[in-house]
Amino acid sequence: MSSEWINPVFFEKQTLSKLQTEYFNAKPFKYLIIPQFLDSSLFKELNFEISKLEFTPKSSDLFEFKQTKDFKQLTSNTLIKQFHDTFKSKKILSLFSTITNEQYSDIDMHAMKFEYTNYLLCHDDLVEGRKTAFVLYLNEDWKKEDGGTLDLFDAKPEKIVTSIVPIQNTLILFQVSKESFHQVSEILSKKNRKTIGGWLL
Amino acid sequence: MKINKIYTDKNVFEEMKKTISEELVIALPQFFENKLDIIKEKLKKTPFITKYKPLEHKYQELELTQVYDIDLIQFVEFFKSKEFLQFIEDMTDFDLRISSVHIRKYTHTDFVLLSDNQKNDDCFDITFDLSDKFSTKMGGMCVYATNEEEILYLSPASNILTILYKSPSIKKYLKYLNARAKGLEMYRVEITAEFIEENLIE
Repeated sequence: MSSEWINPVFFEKQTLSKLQTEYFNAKPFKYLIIPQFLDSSLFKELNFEISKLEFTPKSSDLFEFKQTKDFKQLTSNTLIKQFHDTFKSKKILSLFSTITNEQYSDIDMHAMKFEYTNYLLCHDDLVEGRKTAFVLYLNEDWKKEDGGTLDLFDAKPEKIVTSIVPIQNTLILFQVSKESFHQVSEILSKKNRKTIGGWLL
Repeated sequence: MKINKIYTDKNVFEEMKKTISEELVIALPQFFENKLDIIKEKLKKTPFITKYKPLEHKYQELELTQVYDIDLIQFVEFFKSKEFLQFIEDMTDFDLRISSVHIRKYTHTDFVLLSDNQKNDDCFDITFDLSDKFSTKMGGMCVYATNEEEILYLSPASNILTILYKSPSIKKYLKYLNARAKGLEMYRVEITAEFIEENLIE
């Protein structure tokens, strides 16, 4: 069941080797952009189910956005449960292990929604147990002018080194470390930036 | 610069003393009698230096030694003056010294985060606010918080002096100014008054 969710090309040896090289050579820290990650029809179904979830507003000095409960708690939604179980299956965790050269035993996963003027300022994600962060973009038709880029900082941090525009059905992986400084820039349009995100533990 | 004479009225002043001793915070609207439009216009024309530390803050600051306009010099000097210090000391009943004066400008994308690098001093945190009209949806609120809870919100305003006793357990942040605040400016004189003697508030 698990492999039907993921675009089969990512299980090919050659592709995996390329992804691994990209991940380890990335600057300012290890990260990877994997486009067309999920099977397109399952992605559409999943996106529809996510849109029905309840998003709770979260606010602090650092952020302003909306978030769902952890998917572990959303057992009543069959498709979301299936996706969550797939993502934490041995086969998929082993796929991520091959790319990142880390061993994983569990995941934290939730959905987030950034609306007009929402943001998440610079931080490192560093919490015990988190090895790799992941973000799967659900939003469609996104342009840099809409804001909501994932900005990666240098190790100090002083400045943004690269900005990733959220493109639908693209998965981002990045290593969590004391130098993995990143932010989500403010949403500047009326579009919603929607993601499934979390950490490989 | 002239303090609004209502705040020098004996009865009003006694009320102010009572408020700061009981509430540990007081806000004085229409603090100056002067029209502040000229000061604000001059601040708008004066170059500020951007201060950006992604994990701490982003704002612009006036280099006080590089101010050459006489109105702005008088404005800055007032907050360092004996008259101002006396006013604060009389109200709080403490011997104090002004340890820092900063004039900062906050615009769209600016912020101050709660940070371990914030000083944990026992002091009075004094802010004179000279901001454009803001709504709460724009950000820019100054929030004072302990580890457990947020205890005070100060929204941007104009011609208002706020004096707050800041114990070492209190930190503050300034909420990110979002796109709704585009084109607006917050000017804040941020002053720290430290205790001279061991006369700390219990």
